[in-house]
Amino acid sequence: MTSRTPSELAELLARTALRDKGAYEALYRATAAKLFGFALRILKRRELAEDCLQEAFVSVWYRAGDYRSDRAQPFTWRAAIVRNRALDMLRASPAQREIGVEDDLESWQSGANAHAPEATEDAQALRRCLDGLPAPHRQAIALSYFRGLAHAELAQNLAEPLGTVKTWIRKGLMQLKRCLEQA
Amino acid sequence: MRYDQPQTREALAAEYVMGSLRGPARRRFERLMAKRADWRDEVELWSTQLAGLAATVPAVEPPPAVWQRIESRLGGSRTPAPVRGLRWWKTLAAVTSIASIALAVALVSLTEEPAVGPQVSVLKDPQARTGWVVTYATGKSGRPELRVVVESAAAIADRAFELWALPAGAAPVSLGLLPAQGEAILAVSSQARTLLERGAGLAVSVEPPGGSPTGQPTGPVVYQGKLIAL
Repeated sequence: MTSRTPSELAELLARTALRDKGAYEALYRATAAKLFGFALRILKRRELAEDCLQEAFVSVWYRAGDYRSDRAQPFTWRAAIVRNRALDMLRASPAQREIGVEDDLESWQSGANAHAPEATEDAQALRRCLDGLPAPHRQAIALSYFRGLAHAELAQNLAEPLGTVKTWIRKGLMQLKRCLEQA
Repeated sequence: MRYDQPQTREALAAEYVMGSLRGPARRRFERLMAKRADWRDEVELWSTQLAGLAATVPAVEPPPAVWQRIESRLGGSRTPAPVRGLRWWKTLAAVTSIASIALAVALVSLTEEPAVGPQVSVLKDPQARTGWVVTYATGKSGRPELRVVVESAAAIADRAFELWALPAGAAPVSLGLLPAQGEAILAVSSQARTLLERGAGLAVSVEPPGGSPTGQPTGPVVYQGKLIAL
């Protein structure tokens, strides 16, 4: 996987919008692995993650013209496309949505990520802010984000009262936002 | 629910992006978001912040077959497909500065500021009055559907309003009849789904009761819009 700066990715996206197939392929080469890892994290099964990645990139081809570099980072914009599609796929197959061992929060914050090619300052700030959250808040946010679980489902899976889970998520998100604003 | 309070906006936007806002509350939120730029901005903010979580996951190289499938889905050819209004900006593409590319893209694109998520369109008449708000998202059934809410469309006696998807360079495809009051949910055929996911524009025409007898618009187009990915 080649490494590209956010502004290089923005240019590749802009060229993709103008139907530059070479730029689109370069975009894929630079970022597919990161997005595939993300899709896998949500969907667990490789075939599903492959479908999701494929659909997301096809979507990027058609919607590259919607991207605005002043509104979001290129990766962010495409990660959101991948996540939405992955969560749609999850909703269509409830069996995939059970919380497993892989959802253990600490495993996805492992040190391997510190060397990720796209570990920008923002990513580092996010990790610091996440580390500052109480563990239950962090866990609830992670499960909600990576598994798309609604409050009621979270409460059931974690065997906690609904009110508790809602508080964890809301307070956790607000604390996260305040922390990122200061970063 | 005090929708003007920043805390409410923050909390709801965060939950919307997380996906934990569901059902009627979600629909209310989508309607608000379609109308108010500050709400869309908040969604955008949360989307950006939370997408950082995506970046914490280790990369995994996908198999080469995925790219091959993508290429064959897009026709595999290197000649660009014609895009509305793009022709004279192709010469601009030869200039490598990102500013001119961004300008070309901005002029080609019909969309407003996007956020990320499901898609919303505000259908407006030539006086910029909103007739309906349309949301394209996955329904409870797990299938995509169009939720349509009347904003201020005035019913016309003995006439129905029909919604069309406008694919580039091809005939309009009917998406169904719009309600004159309240809300409705329109099922989305797989053909329509492909068009909508490729960013087809939307238009509303005036038709006889029951919709166009010909399968194409027979009456005037009175409202238009474009689905924006939130």
